[in-house]
Amino acid sequence: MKLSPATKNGIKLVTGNRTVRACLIILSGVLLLSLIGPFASRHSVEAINFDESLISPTFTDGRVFGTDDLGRDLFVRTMQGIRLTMAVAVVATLVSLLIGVTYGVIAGYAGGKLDALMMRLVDGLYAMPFIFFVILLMVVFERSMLLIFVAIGAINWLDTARIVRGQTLSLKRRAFVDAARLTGVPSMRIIFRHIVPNLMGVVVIYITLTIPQIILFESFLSFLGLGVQEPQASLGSLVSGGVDSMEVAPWMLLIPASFLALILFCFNFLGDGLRDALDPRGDAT
Amino acid sequence: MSDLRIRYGGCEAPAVDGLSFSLGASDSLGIVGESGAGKSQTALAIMGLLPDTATISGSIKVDGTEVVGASKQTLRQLRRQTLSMIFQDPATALNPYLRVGAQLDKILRMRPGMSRKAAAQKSISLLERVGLPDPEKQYRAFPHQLSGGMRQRALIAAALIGDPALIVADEPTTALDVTVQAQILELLRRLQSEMNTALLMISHDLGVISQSAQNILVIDKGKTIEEGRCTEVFSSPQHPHTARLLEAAPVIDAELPKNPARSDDVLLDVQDITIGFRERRGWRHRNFVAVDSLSISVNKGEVVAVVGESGSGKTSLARSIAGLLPAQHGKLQLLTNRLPWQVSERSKSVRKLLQMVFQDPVSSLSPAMRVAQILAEPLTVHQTAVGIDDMQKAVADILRRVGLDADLKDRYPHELSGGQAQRVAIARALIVEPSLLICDEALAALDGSVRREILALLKTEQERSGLSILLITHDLGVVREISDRVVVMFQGKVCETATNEMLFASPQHDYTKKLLAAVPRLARRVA
Repeated sequence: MKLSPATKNGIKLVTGNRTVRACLIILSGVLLLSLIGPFASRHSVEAINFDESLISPTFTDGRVFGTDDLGRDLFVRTMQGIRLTMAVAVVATLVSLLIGVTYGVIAGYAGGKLDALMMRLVDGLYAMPFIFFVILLMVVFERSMLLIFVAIGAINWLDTARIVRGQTLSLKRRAFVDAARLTGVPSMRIIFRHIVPNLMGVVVIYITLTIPQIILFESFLSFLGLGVQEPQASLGSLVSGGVDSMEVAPWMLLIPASFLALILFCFNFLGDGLRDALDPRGDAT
Repeated sequence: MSDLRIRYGGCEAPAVDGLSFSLGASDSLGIVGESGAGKSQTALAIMGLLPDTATISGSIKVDGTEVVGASKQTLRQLRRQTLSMIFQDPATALNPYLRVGAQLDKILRMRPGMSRKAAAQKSISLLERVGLPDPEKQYRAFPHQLSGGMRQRALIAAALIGDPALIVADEPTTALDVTVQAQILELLRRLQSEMNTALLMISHDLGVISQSAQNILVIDKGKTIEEGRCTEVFSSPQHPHTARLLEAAPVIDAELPKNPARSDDVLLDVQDITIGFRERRGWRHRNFVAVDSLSISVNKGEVVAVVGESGSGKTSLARSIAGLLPAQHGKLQLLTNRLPWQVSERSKSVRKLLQMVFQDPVSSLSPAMRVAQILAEPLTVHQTAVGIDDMQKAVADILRRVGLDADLKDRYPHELSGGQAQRVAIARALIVEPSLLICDEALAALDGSVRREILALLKTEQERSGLSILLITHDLGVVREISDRVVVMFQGKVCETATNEMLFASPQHDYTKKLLAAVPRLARRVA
């Protein structure tokens, strides 16, 4: 894929930004650890062993993060949780982008009545209590990973659509869109060849701000017991389990919670850094 | 001021490189140069307004006070009493949320012992002094209720508050129409002689400098290349760059262009076109008529110029003909085809005949596409070139035709200069071989010498292919050099149509006469 100059410029600026660089390093470190960590451990995710329950973190026998109340290895489970949480975040973000960008760019480009109709629909959807909506979805249908992805993505596209529409409105007034219309370029081609590539700068920033939102939402669902099912674990469900045995085994709460906080922290800083770096008015140093 | 150097961090070349000049009390000096020459940087340095990212060395002394490295306190004192500045864009230099009077009062009331009432009185008298009609009304007006020229007057009033010893005017008339520009220049000249202040005039327009300053300093790439009395520099420039600048300034007494391609067959015929906008003012709707039952025609191979001030409806007319702005009433005919108003309803073969070049070369090219992609798109749409080889050949051909290097095809628009970008925009229009090219202020955003080159390019293309051009412009110099026929527009109506020769030799309409008189001319010594 060829990168647009805005994106390329962004990448250059971003790697020059110290906060962003640090965040990127930490995030890829965590991700790498979660991918290879479980292979380095002798313990499996699912093995339940009551003889070894509630061991506090120790270096003997590779129990670096200790075990939970069922005797499962917490290191392996945390790593799996990170993987799952990240996967949900990335997939849900992509879903929300796909819907949001398409919807927003069409509404913005069409303008007039269609735009008004489409955006009022978004306003209407905003008014719905989404937690309730998701809970209902989870209850009615069988709980599955796919459903979590889709449900979260379907909520988040509303913001994306609004932002993309706003950008499209300003882009379509630029002379290059007029020039394309004069040449006889069909509308769909104008939208996807002339407008969407120019939106990418904003979208890239937006992604980094959406991901932590989604991670938090997924954790929240899992915390409520509506997220992933045992024996699978996400950071949210681990935190939830940790809360139950907080008094006897604080590490069961602290370890997954710290990872969650670290990841959220990095993504938020990444988003801020990106926004600073890509904002043409800001003096990014 | 001596040996001023300004350098920006991370930039190889200094913005201003060892510039020195001095300006006596109640003298006037014009600084002229192309964009990027360091004119505005110099002005900002004098005011002590350079951003922190700039490193500055050398010395600027205003009335004996050193500005370079001065404390905030000293600078404030200086700006309050001896220095003031007039900015380029009067629309952004005034705070839109405050009434004009309040903005003047605020500055006045910083002085000890100035009462609210006295400040108001002084403000009104200042507004009167800069020639604003009904100063009490303007005192209460918000900036958006004033026209561009009135806003610039209000700014000048603000600049006069401290009885400054030096006024720095950074392109004060660039954003204004010619007739308004003439009035503002007249005002500056009058005030300068009345108040005995020194004036530092910064402009890219030699005509403006010639009308407002006695001495001139020509700078290029941050260096002085020539200085002297205006009249002398203009009549016998010593440095080749000055000579080039002089030559590039479109002059309305240039020789008449010859156009062998012109024929008597009508290509485009517009009849009784009316374009209106619905404006919303609060709850009420108001119709605003931009173009009022206007008729215009363009012959094959003819260059027709439409001139008028901003707001005269010339751009609406161009966009309407192009199909980008539907008109309420009228008829549009291209050769034998009756054209619908919406470009989307026009057939491909008709769209091909009519292309447009826009004012801002930067916004007319998609930032995310390479030059080659931009130029290849029309070919794909009209299927004039099939296959990659044909396409590449066509792109290379058109690049050569508009005088661009073939290597530029892989660049993105932001990697091009303004002139190059405008050439690409022209290439995109020409690649489908149109019969009518609409140029909507296509030269307005370009520097003098680049403008000259683009003008020459349009001329050769027009002669080569018998293209007709509908040129929308406010610049009479450009009109003189390229057009066959001129249509003068005023408030949505045609007030005069004449051949190029007739228009300049014997203008009929009062407005045309006013327009011609307002064009700043170079004061040369009569040889």
